[in-house]
Amino acid sequence: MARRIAILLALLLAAPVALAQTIRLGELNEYKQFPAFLDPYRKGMELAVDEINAAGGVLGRKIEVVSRDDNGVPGDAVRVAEELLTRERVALLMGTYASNMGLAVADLAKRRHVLFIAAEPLTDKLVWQDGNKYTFRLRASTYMQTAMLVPEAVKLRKKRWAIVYPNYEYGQAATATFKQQMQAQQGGDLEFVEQAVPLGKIEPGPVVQALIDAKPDAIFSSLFGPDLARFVREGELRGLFKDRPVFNLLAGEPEYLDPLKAEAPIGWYVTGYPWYAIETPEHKRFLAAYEGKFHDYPRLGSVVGYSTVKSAAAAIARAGSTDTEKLVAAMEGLTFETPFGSVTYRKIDHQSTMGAYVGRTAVRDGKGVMVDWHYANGKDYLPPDDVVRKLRPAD
Amino acid sequence: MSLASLAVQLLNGLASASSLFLISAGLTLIFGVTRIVNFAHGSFFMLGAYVAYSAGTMFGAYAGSASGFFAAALVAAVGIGVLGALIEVLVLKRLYPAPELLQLTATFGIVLIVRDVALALWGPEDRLGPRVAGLSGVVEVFGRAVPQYDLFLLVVGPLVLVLLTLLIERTRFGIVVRAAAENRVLTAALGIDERTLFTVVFALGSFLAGLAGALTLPREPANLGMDLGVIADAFVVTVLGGLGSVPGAFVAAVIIGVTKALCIAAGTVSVGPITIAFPKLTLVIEFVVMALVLLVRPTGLLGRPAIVAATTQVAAERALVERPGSRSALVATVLFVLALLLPLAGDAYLLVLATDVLVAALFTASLQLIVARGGLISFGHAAYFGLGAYAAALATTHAWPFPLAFLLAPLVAALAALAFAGLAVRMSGIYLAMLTLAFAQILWSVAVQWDALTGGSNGLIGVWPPDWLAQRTHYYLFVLAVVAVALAALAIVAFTPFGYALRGARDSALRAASSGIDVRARRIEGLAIAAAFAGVAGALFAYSKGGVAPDALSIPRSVDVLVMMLLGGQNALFGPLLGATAFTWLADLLARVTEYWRACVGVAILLIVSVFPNGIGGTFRLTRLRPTSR
Amino acid sequence: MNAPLLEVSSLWKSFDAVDAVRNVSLSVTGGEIVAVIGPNGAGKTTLFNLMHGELVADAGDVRFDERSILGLPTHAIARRGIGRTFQVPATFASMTVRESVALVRSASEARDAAVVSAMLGIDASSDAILARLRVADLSNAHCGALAYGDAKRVELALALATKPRLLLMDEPTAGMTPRARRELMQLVVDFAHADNVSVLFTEHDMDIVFGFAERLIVLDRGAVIAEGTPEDIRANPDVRAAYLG
Repeated sequence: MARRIAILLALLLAAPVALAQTIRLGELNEYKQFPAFLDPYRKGMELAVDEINAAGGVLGRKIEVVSRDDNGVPGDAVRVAEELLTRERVALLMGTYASNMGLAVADLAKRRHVLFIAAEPLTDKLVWQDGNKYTFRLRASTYMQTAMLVPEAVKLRKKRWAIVYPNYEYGQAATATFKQQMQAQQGGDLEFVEQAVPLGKIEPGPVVQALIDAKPDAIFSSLFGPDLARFVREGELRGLFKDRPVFNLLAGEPEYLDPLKAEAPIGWYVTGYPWYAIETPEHKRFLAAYEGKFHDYPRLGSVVGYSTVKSAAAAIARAGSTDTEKLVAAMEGLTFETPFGSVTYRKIDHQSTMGAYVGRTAVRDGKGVMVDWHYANGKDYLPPDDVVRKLRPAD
Repeated sequence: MSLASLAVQLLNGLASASSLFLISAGLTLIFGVTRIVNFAHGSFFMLGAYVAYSAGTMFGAYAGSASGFFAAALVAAVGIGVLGALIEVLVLKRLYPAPELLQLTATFGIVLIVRDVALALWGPEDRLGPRVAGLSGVVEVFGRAVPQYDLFLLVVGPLVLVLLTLLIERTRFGIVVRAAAENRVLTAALGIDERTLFTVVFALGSFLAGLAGALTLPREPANLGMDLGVIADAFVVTVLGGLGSVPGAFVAAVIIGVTKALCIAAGTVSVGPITIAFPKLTLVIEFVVMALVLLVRPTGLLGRPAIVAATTQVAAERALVERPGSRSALVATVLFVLALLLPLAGDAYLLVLATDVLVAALFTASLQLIVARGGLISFGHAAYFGLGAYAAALATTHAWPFPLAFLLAPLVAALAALAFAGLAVRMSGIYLAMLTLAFAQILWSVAVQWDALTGGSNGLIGVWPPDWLAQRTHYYLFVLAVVAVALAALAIVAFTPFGYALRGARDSALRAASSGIDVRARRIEGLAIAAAFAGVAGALFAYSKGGVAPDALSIPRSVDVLVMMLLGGQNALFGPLLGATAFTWLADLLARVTEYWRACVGVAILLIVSVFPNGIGGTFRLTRLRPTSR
Repeated sequence: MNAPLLEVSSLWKSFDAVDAVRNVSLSVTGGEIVAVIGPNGAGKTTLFNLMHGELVADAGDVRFDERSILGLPTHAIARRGIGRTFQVPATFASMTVRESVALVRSASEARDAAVVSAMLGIDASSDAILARLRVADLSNAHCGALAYGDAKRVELALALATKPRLLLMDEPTAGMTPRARRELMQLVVDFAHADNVSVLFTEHDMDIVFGFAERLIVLDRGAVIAEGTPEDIRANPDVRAAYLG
């Protein structure tokens, strides 16, 4: 009898060890809020996991992503993250799309001393004002992407700018950065007129008309999704874009450009992802693998999901452990491979140097594409180190 | 701004108004006749757009066929009308004998299902609508280009108004609809078959929603955010115009459409030191307009006070408030002891989840006090929850000691309730409910906009409890203690002289006043007490999540708490606990099991309300109506 | 003679240019039982609503116990000592009869402590009122479940539990059998005489009116056309023409 109990106990004790063979990565995101971005993102993660495991995993162990829908509510994200930490015993947290979600999870990560890799949230605060030791961010921030467009804008020497943006932190930050960078780089008597539109509820007719009446020389927009589609159609019809250069953050991302089909704007300056034209070997390899697996082309979300998992695996490999403190140490200055080339998580502010493609929009074969593009490396669009140090609290 | 551009902006506003009216007309019909607060109306609108997209692809609308587009629109409208009729017959019909507002829960379930169905059928990508041949160009107005399609909408809106007015004023069907909207008793006396009437009206309303969705397609791509995007606006228009009044909805749509256009046109205006960015007001302007109008005209622009109370009379059995007695005390004690033992289960997540359930239960119980005991419906109860959360969070980020920061929450919430009640308490029924919604929405927009204080859309972070509560177990036990005391207090309050007075005012305001009860004062006090408890829930929430964001004040949170209350049984003693447990636990469980968890939650809600029309707690209640002994 | 308990002077009220109450003056003295009669639409209910604070008069005054109560809210008027019953009995559907009486007493007496005991069911004076109105056996029934006639009596008990000095009754016997009508009115009159409560009531049943009222006031199209003892009114040719036919 005693022996049986002993065996039973041994089995029970062995079970967690068997489970621990797999390294579990906790992931949470607003899958139902932003499916257009996050469906491809999920596929990107799957591809990365497959590749890593096919190559023998990390530290000789397989990896597994445990994914949760956080319902787009910060409170729910915190609960879901707690579940991943306590029940699923994940080695780290990653994910989130919206800025408020990213910030909420980042704060929890600080509290619970666990590594958090924010995949997509663009808010500058995530690594600067509200930055913390445990949080790293993959995607090029609002500041960086805006800064990537500014040199093009400065070249045009336009004086009067109309700015249209979704009325929440991302749009507000993009607008503030754009104005500040323009003042810094172009100077002179710049003029700005602004239209803030409720997210997802733009009144395109009145907004476009008001912008026309403001008689701007050029336009800077941070709209995306359905707001962008309505703005484009209405603006084309009413002639807002005639003889006016337009700059639009994110509009070159397939998620937002593709739904416009043949009505995609022509000649806009955008940040985005021309997956059809990138000829680097690392991207060609990624594209082939992705299309082979999903019979669909990748969106930007695919790259973000893929690269997030890759960076997590690289960090674990470098740390040689899943211990949080070792992981954080490994993340600082970690260089890893992405479809966009080598990327590094900066030690100074935990922002990655992943860049974005900057170019002009065009229509080919009834589809919106980016042309005349170049890759803007993220490391070139960040403020000087002393500025960053002032922005970011000490750990 | 020149006069010409002002004129064109008015035109733009009217075009928006037309499409707003199309969305709202169906809602006001359904609302007026059946009194169903139909959250699914926005979902029907969205489905209309998607169906029109698919049908348009088939009929060549994208290949430049105008008739193809209009055929697609018709298919969409009829299809959604039929769907509406089916839902009414299969789901809502069963719920008419149930307590008021329960249908609301069912329509909420439908919203969840429709959204996932649309995702499954049409995928996540936005679907751009066709340019309608013949209407795809522009017309020059005062030297400015105005899209032909806008002008087309400008005609369609009034045309639908005329057709609906003819239908209502000139046909027998219309007489019946009017009778039903104004006086239920009369409808029955006229020998009208209410069951058929409700189905027909629901189908007609859904038809209009589908039509509105289809006609919006050339202006807005079909997308998964359309449902919630329009539903609040449609409610505002419906209430602003006066319940059940189609012309009222039209006038209200015009007011809102034009006001928005003018805000956008005004741009940023500086008068002396004050700078107002009018476009930013578009975030909330419709709610501000509605609140102002309701304060002056408590039944909307063209609404008439209903002869029979706007909400169906509470049947005696349902009005019964379960009395805490020895049996319920025993149940409560057992539950409390079990909850105390929960940390021994050794599952830290269980504590996190239980904390959420407890907070939700307290929030729900506070709503129960004003809705079920006080008879005042609230669609904006998140206002007090959010205020409590923000008050505690702000105090904490300003380094207030924890006890003070915590106590600030109920205080701020109660003061806000007093301010609100001072304005609104003479109103009742659905109009009051909408005013509460407007109040919450205005607070929400302040939270989103006031970046310096509230952290804007990102909210506030770093709001954690002090070290002695830092452990999950400690914080859970703290929440358990606070919530247990609060729930007990709320259960007992209904049986204090104050609680009796509040319930007396609900049962019969006439008798209450005639007995010397100051109905207005009791209701204000009731609202303040409820708000204070909601504020406590908000503070507990903020500390458990490490912060607060504007969603704490948002419409979905107000709807969630209403759904939890109704699921649990609005008069049941353990209703809030049951409702909060079922809702929170279901969402948590299903979200882990399936990608389509929202639809599953929706189906679960439909099942629960079908099986337990008095709520879960209402079915197993201990108190029954005691009949007369003679 | 003492000043009248209730004194209405030159009261006016119009709705949308229709004069519902025109220059009405009347008075009720302590312990008196007075009926207000008149055809449908004569303004009886409007007059009651004006006296009881549900409506605000355009002109004139209402004095109770030598103080003006014009413009006071209903609950304040109730606390001054005016009780009321309605044509359709208004009770608290979700409460038992005993709870209802206790609530009403708490509100009118503002003595919560006494009433808490009443709500716990150990209150003799609530039961006493119920017994006097012969509804003691209903004290544990829920008001929402009462038969119509019982609801009328319970409502009466609720109105009297506030210890009013004047009771306004709007069609107290509507919808009852002739026998039940007489029984109910007899209860009212007995109570009124015992406790020195004045009663002002409207009624369509002339047997009840002439059987129980000590004095009659006749309203027609918003104005008082006659006033007097039952005998006077019976003999009044104007009243016969306008109303009694």
